[in-house]
Amino acid sequence: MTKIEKKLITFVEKNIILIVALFLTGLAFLVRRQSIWYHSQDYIYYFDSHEGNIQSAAYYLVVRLLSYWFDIPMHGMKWLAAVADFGVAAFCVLLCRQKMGMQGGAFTSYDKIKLLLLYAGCLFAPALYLRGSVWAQIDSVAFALLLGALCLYRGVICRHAGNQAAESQDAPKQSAQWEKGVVTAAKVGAVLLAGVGIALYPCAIVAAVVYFCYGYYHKRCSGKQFAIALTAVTGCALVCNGICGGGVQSFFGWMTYHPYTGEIYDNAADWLWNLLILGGYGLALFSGLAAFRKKIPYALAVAVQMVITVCYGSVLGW
Amino acid sequence: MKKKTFWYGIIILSVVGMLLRWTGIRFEGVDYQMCLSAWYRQLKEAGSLKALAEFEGNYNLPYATALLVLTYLPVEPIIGIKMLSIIFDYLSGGVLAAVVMKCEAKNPKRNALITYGLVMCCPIMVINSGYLAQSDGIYAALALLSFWCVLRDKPIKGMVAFGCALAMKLQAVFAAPILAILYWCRKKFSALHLVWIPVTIQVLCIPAIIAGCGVDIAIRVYTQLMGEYPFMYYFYPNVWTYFQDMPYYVFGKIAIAFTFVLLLLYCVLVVQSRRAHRTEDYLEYFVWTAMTCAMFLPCMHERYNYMAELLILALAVLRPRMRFPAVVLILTSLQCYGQGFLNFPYVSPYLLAACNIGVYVWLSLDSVRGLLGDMVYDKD
Repeated sequence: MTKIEKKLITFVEKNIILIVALFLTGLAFLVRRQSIWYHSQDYIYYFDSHEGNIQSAAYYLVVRLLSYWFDIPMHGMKWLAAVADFGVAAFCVLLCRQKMGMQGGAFTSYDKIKLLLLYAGCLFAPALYLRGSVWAQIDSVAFALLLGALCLYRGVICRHAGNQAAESQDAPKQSAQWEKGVVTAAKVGAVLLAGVGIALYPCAIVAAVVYFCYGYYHKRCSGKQFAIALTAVTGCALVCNGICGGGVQSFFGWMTYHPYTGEIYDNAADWLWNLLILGGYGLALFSGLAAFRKKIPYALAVAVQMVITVCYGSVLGW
Repeated sequence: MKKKTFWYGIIILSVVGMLLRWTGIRFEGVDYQMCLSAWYRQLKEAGSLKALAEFEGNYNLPYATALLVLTYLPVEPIIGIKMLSIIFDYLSGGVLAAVVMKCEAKNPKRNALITYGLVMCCPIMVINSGYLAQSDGIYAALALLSFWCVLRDKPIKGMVAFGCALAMKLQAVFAAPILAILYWCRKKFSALHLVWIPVTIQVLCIPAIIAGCGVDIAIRVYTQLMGEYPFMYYFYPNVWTYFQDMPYYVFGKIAIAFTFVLLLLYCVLVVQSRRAHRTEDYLEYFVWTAMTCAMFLPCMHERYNYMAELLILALAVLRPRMRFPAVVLILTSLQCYGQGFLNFPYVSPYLLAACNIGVYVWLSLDSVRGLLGDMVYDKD
């Protein structure tokens, strides 16, 4: 091995996480660009605000806005979903990093590798990729906003808790009032972000409900806090949807109406199948996160990914 | 085990292996009838080196050159073509036995003998060369030889062998990730040694170039092969079985990128694991990387996981927990071969794909868990 090679390898090994992460980001971008011209058989339903539609008003506003910049709305939606994919990946890494930070101790190379695997998993998970960049669905945007809200909330709260712990050791500081303000602003910001996300993709409300229930079950919040948080986020989403010109029907329509025909489901199997498709993105994303945090076995997360991928593939006509 | 017993065992197993293959020596598979015999006839009729310039097959020219040489030998075409592959089966068995013998395990000679026996008598290998006259045994043997040479710190020989493997069939590229891992982990050879690969390919193409083919003939054949089929699925039960109508022109490159990402992350994991890599570990990496290629790359024929099927036999000898996945993998492939070429009762490809994916997930979790477990919890 030559000297230059040895030096190069040493450099790469030192910065391997960063180099690979950058490379994966570039590759993920190219992969998304590759599928931009592909369209599914049902894509017309998602860009046509026909009478029976059950998409939210906020969604159609986004489609309308995108049509100003893109000649083909599907391309605009795919690029939006692709950008959001990167957001989802970054926020997932940030959330897990925050969680690891809370548990204390320095970051080991093991932790870094795991975070890299998580980042790659988010960018290249077939279920997530198919839903946004191939099918042109908006789930990733909604989930990026939800995760962003969670990051903002957790980040500020954790910092605040850390500062409080430091203050209890030292003399109390005058900045306490200021910090309270920051925490309140973070809470409002988080509610707004989550609200907009849910307004865009109302099915994402399930993720918020599950998250709040999980917090309540693990006694991280009281019943009162649970109710306030859920009401705030749902209220914000409803207001946002209302501002965009939609009613309650367009917000909750996905629960009972068929997405293509706008009619009530004929049978339970159809309804279940569509709910699985609507919730598939969230299920795939959160099963991966749960496996990363050792809440469920990896094999189960892989199985969930496969099932969702096959479901999406079958809907896309493969 | 005594040396004498070992060699007697090798001789007996070699004879048994040949007998098994000989039972199907007259069998004419679809590929033989449609392609190989036609190519042979075409080369024979032309009767000179110039036949290579008019070669109509989609196999690489070095293989066509070997076919042309066979036309000059006084053997029946079916026997000549099959014997070419069978000879390389012996090389595969020998190399794998040598690799297993190098592993730090109890009774290395016994393990080597069992491995050799498994390779010689495994139904997949017997059917592939002895019945179907396929050339998968050729590139796989050369790729294994390359792996073995690099393991023994003979990089030039290793790269030449890899070049020969690639020149024979593009699927030899499934061995490239393990060579990258060896390069990075062992740091015993230079990237400059890689130059031997194109040099070897080009040298093997010299007869074709003299015959009138272009200098870029080797690359042209590869690129033609890559865009040959319109869909992602092509009879190997892998993940694309569930997406049979997925268009290649959109998703072909994406599948390649996805495979590349998986291999890259695995390489990073291997390098960062700080594990004291043993020969047995390299064998595990080789199985995983070769199988990853077969599971995720598009347009895979039912025979294209040949290398992983060969390697998992050796790994199963060394690690008892690999025996069950090895058996499932071999039986699944056997069913694939059977229903594709030998009139076996039909089994749904979805079920076969589920079996293969199950084995792959099991191997992945086992390997990744092991690597993460070995990672040093050092403070940065």
